Amino acid sequence: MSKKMITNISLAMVLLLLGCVISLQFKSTSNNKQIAAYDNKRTDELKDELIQEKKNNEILTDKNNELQKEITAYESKQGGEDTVLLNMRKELLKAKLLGGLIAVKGKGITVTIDNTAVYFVEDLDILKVLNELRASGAQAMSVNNERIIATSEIRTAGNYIMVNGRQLIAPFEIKAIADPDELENSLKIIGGIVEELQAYFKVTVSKSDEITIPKIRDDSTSLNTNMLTPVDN
Amino acid sequence: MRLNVRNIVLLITFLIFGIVLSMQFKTIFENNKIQASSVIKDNEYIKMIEQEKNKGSALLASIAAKEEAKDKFIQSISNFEKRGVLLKTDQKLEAANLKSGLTDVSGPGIIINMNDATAQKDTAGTYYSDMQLIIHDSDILKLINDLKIAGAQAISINDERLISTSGIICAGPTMLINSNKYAVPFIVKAIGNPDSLYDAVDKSERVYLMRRDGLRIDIQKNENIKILKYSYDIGELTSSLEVASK
Repeated sequence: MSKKMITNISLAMVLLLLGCVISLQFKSTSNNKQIAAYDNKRTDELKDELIQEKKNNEILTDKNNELQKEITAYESKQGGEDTVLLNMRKELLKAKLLGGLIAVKGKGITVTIDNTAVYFVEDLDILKVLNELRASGAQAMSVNNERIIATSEIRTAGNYIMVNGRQLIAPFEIKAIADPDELENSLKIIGGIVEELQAYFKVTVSKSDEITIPKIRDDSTSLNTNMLTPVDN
Repeated sequence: MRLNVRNIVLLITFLIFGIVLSMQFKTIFENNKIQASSVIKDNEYIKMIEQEKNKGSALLASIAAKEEAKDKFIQSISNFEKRGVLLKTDQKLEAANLKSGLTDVSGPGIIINMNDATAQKDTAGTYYSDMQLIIHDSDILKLINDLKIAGAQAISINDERLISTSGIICAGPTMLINSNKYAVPFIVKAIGNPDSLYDAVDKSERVYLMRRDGLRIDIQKNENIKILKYSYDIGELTSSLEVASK
């Protein structure tokens, strides 16, 4: 009798131990999985950072080489002044194109969003479309012919939407210049912004070979720099 | 008979026990190996990143020196008329750069520090889903728009100057700003009237909701904020644009 009990007890203990070992095993395996995932993420982040630094250095190298060419041109004396002027004018044009200080044209798309009987287009709807266009490489944009620059606000105000301090009314026509296919694809992707907006509004997207976008009105309602002091490095 | 059954049970039990033990040792050893190799890889990446950073600062110094030489050259041009044209174009360039975000600027404004929530629940004990505890691109988009409505003249997020083409894009746990990846905290700087900017953010509905969900949003007024210029190549950003005659 007692011998049988001892055997049973020892068997129970062995099985208990086995249970413990199995649970430990599971715990450590899942733990290790977590650690491995974390390590991979860290490595990926480092990889991204390295790629970023390399990209940055490429840009700097280009700029440095460009300046080197200019300096070589001055030193040759012949045409040095013209080289400087030419480069300045190139830089000026690029700055104006980027900042919206000049009217532009190019290939692109037009997105039209109109109110329905029930729903009215709001600032966030327009903001999302503009952000999506920027994400897919838009180089110049306008809403109802108001050029969108770095400081352009989009604000719902009753039945209007204010852009650059101007009241705009529906339908809202958003134009963007960049590769038309790329712009259209990223807007019309399944679950994308067009699908989202079509649930509430009338939305059309059309590609065009020539889109014209006006320059920013250079007045105090749309573009101010009076509080900015340039800093020399 | 009974003894035999018990023995078989014991045999199977110990067999499993042995297999489990050997598996345990194997996984531990393998994991150690994986960890060791990933640490080596990480260290190599860190070293390479450091090298690139050094290269970058050397390039910046070289560019600064060349720009100085260029300025000196312009000043030394003896032909009065040509120098006049150059100086005038230079002034125009500086004005256009200021308007387009291509100049470092300083001025009064606010600094906003945004971070994800720390706790899994709010003070009332309500649990939120993970989606409510993190900052989304739409949150930042709305906040930046509020700053623009309040008259911000220059804005940066984690020192990335926002220009006409800057998108704010969600990329998994990080945010893409000017094509660069950033994780929390997001530090937004804006130059403009500090009181208007402060109120625009502090009283915004979106910020109220974010704070309710435990997201950390700290706003500081500051009389002298420095915002860096957009420092990448702008040729790529204007390559599809042609000047339109009015």
